[in-house]
Amino acid sequence: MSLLEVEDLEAGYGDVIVLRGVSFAVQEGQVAAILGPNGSGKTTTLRAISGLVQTRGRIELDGHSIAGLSPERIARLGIAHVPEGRGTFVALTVAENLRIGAYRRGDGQGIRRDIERCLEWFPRLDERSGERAGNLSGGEQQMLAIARGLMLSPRLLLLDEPSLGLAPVLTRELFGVLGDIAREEGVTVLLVEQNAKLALRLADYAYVLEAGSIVLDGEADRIEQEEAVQHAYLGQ
Amino acid sequence: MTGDRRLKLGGFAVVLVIALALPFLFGAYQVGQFTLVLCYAIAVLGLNLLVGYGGLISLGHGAFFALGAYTSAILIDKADVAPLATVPVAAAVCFAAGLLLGLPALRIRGLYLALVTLAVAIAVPQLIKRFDALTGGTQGLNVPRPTTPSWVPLADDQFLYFLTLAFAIVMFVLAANLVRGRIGRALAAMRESEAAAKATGVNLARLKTGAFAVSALYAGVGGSLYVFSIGFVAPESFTLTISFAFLAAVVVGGLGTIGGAIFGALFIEFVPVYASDVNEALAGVIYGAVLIAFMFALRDGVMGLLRQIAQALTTKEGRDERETAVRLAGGDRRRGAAPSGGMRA
Amino acid sequence: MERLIQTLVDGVATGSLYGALALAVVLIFRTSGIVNFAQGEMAMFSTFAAWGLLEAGLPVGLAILATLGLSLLGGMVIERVLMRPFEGGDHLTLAIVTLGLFILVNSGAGWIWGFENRSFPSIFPDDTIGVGGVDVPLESVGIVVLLLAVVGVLYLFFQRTKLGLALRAVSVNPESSRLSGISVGRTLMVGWGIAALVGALAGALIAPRLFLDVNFMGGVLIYSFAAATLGGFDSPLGAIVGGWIIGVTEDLATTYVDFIGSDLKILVPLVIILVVLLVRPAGLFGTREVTRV
Repeated sequence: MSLLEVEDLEAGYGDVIVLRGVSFAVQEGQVAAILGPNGSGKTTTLRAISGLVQTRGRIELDGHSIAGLSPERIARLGIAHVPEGRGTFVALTVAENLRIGAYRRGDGQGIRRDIERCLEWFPRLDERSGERAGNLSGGEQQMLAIARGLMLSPRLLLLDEPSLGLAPVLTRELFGVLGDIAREEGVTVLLVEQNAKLALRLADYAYVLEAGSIVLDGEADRIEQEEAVQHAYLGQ
Repeated sequence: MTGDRRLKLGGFAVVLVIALALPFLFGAYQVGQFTLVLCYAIAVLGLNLLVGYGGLISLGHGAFFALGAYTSAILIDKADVAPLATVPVAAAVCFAAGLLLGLPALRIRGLYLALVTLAVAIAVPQLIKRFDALTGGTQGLNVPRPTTPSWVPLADDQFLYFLTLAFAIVMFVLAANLVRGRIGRALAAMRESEAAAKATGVNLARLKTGAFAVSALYAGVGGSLYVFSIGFVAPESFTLTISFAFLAAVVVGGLGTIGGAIFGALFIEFVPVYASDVNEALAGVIYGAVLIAFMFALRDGVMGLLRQIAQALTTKEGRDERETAVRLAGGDRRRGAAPSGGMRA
Repeated sequence: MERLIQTLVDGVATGSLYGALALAVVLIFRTSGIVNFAQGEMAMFSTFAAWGLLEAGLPVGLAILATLGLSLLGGMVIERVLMRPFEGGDHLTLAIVTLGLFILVNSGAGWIWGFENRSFPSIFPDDTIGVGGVDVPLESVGIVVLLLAVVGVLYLFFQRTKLGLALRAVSVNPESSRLSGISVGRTLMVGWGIAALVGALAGALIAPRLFLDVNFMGGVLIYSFAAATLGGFDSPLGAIVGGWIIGVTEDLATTYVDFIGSDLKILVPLVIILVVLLVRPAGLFGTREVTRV
C-alpha cells in the first residue's frame, strides 16, 4: 500500500476547474516529482492534498481518507506542506519559525534535537537564527520554509516549486541538500517543480501534468529520456 | 424594458399610490409619524449612497442630520426666514460640511474614516450645547411648524405630509438617476477595489468627497424637514443613537438599494415606539440583533428579500436566466464572503 | 509647580486607562485583523457583572478577579459564536457586525441592570502618596503600576509561551499557521478572550472615577481609538504610550487652556486622530498603515 494515494482528484477555485480527475500514488521513502508547465495545476495538486482547496475524489494517507479534512488536521496527521512563495512568518524570528513548525509536537527534547539537525543541514539559518525572518534572502527563506516543514517530523513532505525565484547556484545547492535529507532522514517527498532537470535528478518517480491531467508517468530516469519531455521541459 | 426594470417601476408605483393615500386613512398622530418616516428615509437614502453603494463607513450621519435641522431651526427662529426657504440653505450648508469631512477622507482609509465619523457623532451634542447662544443649548429651540395655506383643502398634518413627500420623491428620483449612471458605476467599482477603480480612470478623490457631500446634503434635507414635523430641536435628539439608527436602517432596507430607505425608515420609526412599551432597552437590543442577523442571513435587506420573492413569482424563463447569472457571477455572496473565497490573507 | 505635577500624574493615570482599553483593541486587531467597535461596551458589561457580584456580597478584589475570568470566557464565546461565521468577510460587513454588537451589548446591559448610574468602588485605598515632593492620589499611581504589570505579563505570554507564539503566528500568516497544524479558530478565540479580560480590567479601573452607567465606556472608546491610532494599531506598546500622551495632553489642555471646558474635551482625541492620520498614518510605533475598516 502506498503512503499517499490519489484517485480521480478534481479540484478548482470557485467555478474554475483546474484538476480534471488526476490519479497517482507516492510510496513510502520515495521522492516523487510532478512536472508540467505553468497553470497545469501542479500547485493546486499540493493544495488539494494539504486541504487548502475544495476537492472531489479520493485522497488517502496510509489508507485513511483525508479528503475534506481541515488543513490543520491534515498537518497533524503528518503532511507538511511547504507552500509556493514559502509562507514564511516574516515578523517572527528564524528560530520562532522553526518552533512553529513543531507546534503540534509535545516532545521538547525531540524538538530541540530536530532544530539542531535543521541548522546543521542549513548552516546559513544557524548564523541568523535570532533574526527577523523577513530579513532573510529568498534562498534563505526557502531553506527556512523547508526546515519548518521538516520540524513537523512529517510522514510526507510536500514541496511547492522550491526553485522559484532562486539563483541557479543556490538552487543546485538547495537540491543537493534536499537529496541528502531525503536519503538520510528517509522522508517521503512529493515535489512540484518547474525546473525539470533538477527535479528529475532528485526524484525516483515522476509525473507530467498538463492542463489538469497526467499525461505521462514513470521512473525518473526513464522520464528524463523521453523525447517529449526533453523537448518540452529540458530544452533539447 | 427589461423585466427587472419593469418590476422596479411597478414597485415604485405601488408604493407611491400607498403613500398618496396614507394621510386620508390615518389620524393626525399617525400621519405625523409617516411624515417622520419620510424625513428619515431621505437621510437614510443619503447614507446608503455612501455606505451601500460606495462602501465607505460613516458613523456620523446623525451629525449632518443635526446640522440640517439646526440650520433650519436657527434661520426660522433667529432670522425669521420662511421655512421652505431654509431647506435649500440647509442642503447647501450640509453639502459644504460633507465636502469638508470628505477632504480628510482622501488620506484616511476605511477604518479611520469610521473612527473620525464616530468621534464627530459623539462630539455633536457637546458642540451644540457649547454654542448655546445660537443653538439654544440644552433647552433647544422651538420652531413654529408650517401651516396649511388657506387655499389648500388639507389639514395641517396632511399638508406637511404631502410637502415632505414631494421633497422625498424628488430626492429619490435624483438618487435613482445618480446611481444608474456613470457615478453609480464608479461607486460600485470603488467599493469592490479602489486600486482597480483607479486603474480604470476613476478619480477617487473627487468621488469620495462627492459621495460624502451628497450624502450629507441628503441628511441635511431630511433634518430640515424633520424640524418642520417636530417643531423643536434639542441636543438629545442628535446623539450617537440616531447615527446608529440610520446605519441600522440602511442595513435593514438593503445595502446598495434605493427603495430600501423606505423600509429602513419605517423600521427605525416604529420599532422604538413599540419596543419601548415593553422595555426601554428593547429597541437597542433589536437594532443590534437585527444588524448582526441581517449581515448573517439577509445581506441585501428587505429589498433583497422582496426581489427574491418577485423573481420567484415571475416566469420560469426569467428565473432560469437569473439563476445562470448568479452562478456565473460566482457563488457564495452570503455573509459577505470575499469573492475569492476561503482563507483571508 | 505642584499643580503641574498633579496634572501630569493624573494625566498619566488617565492615559493608562485609555491605554488599557486601547490595548484590548490592538490585541484584537493584531490577531483577527479587525477593529472591534464593541470593545468598550464589552468592558462595560464586564464591569456591570462585577458590580452584580459586589452586590451579592463578594469583596472587591474577588469580584473583579471573578469578572476577569468570566470576561475571558465571554470573549472566547463571542469570537466563536459571533465572529467566526463572518471570518473572511469583507470589512464593511465586519464593521457592521461589531457595531451591531456594540448596540446589542449596550442595550442588553440596560435591560439587565437598568439605565441609572451607580457608584463602583476602587480597589485602591483612598490615600495619597508622595511623588516628586507632591501629594498625589494613591489610586493614580496604583493604576499606572497595575497597567505596567499587565503589559509585562502580556509580553511574557506572547514572547515566551507556546500559545503566545501561536497567536503571533496566526496574526502574521494564518495559512502557514494552519499548515503547521495550528487551529486558527481556537487561537483567535484565545485572543478575543485575552482582549476581553484586559478590557474588563480597564472597565473596573475606570468605573470608580466616573459613574457606572450603561454609557460610561462610550467616551473612553473614542479616547482609546485615538490612543491606538497615535500609537499604531498593531502596536501594543503604542497603545500604552499613545494613551499616556493623550491622557497628559487632555489634562494639560483642560487645566491650562480655558476654551476647552469639559464640554469640548472630546475634541482632543478627534483632533489627535485627524492630525496623526494626515501626518503619519501608521502611528508612532505601527508597522503598516491600516487599510481595512
